[in-house]
Amino acid sequence: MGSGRGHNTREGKDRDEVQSKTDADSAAEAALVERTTAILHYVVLLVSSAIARQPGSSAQTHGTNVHTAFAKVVRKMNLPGIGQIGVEQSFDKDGLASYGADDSIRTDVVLRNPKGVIIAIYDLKTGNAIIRPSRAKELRTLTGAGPDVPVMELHSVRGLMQR
Amino acid sequence: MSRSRRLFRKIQKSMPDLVLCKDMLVIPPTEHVVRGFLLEATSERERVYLWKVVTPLLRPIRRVILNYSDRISGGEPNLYIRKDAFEESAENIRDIINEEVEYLRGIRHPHDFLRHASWVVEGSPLLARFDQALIRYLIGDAQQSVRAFRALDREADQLDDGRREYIGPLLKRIVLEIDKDPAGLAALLGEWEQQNVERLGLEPSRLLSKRP
Repeated sequence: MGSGRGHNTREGKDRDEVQSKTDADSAAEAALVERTTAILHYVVLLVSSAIARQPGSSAQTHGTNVHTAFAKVVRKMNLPGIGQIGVEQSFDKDGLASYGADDSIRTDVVLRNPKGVIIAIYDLKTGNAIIRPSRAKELRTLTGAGPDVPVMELHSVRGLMQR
Repeated sequence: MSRSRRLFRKIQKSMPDLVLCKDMLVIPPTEHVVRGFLLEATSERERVYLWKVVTPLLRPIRRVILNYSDRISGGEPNLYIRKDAFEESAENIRDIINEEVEYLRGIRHPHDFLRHASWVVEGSPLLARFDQALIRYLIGDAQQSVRAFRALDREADQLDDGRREYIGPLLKRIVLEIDKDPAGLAALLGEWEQQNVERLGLEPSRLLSKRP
């Protein structure tokens, strides 16, 4: 997680001002999620059409190739709220973990607000794979995301699904 | 021996100030915050993420957490450890590490950590605010951190079971200690820190290496 995140606080704001700020923050976050979702979906479409399944290769190998290419493109795009670090991040209950650690889960993309709070989780799926409710719950729990944080399934054929 | 350890052992030979602790190349001395470098595997064979690690040790962790760390690549889009070009890969990673060592040396003390993690503010994730409160307690800001612990404890009570499972009991333990004697909390944090040092194999980095 990058440092240098700014946040302005001012003493003496009355409740209306605070509420209005909160509403503005929420609206900005919603807009960021919407914009990012559209971009990531577009990237999935591009990557999926560019990565042909090799004759004789398994669905799993194809899925890995698509994931790898998707991660590369998204990292290169350095999107707001994602950057380099929000791609292929692993989590366990203690916090951010490294790949393959016991009891950890790997996310494809997480989107954060400027305070570092996760506001959307993206999971790329290929073939017949789907995000089951138990998986969505696990993703939210281990990332520390709230129950309202959308877990978005990105699929080149089925399109976008919120879980 | 793991790929990380082999690679870092090679790098460490030309950077003797750094200490190899398990699979992590650590900048000594480790006090309340561990600083160093870690390799993470990816879904692509031979491609790795290199982490510039900053991890406070004041709450129990099973492994190095990366919440305050950054992936570094020296401007390259991807980093690889090539089996057939291991020496070259090691040199490349050593050069990237070399650029970051001085910054990490400057994150030795608790107040350095607060500067490093200045993005943590009201409304940041609970774990991040918890770490901040622990660090503030350590630098002597007892009143404010005690208030923060109590508020975080109330907040954790509102979480669902899954999200409360880790942080909930820790906060309860801290509040219990505070109720007994706010000054006594230091002993608990010291105990947790020492357990982390042992669990993560950081003991060799506790001592400052001999620098020329």
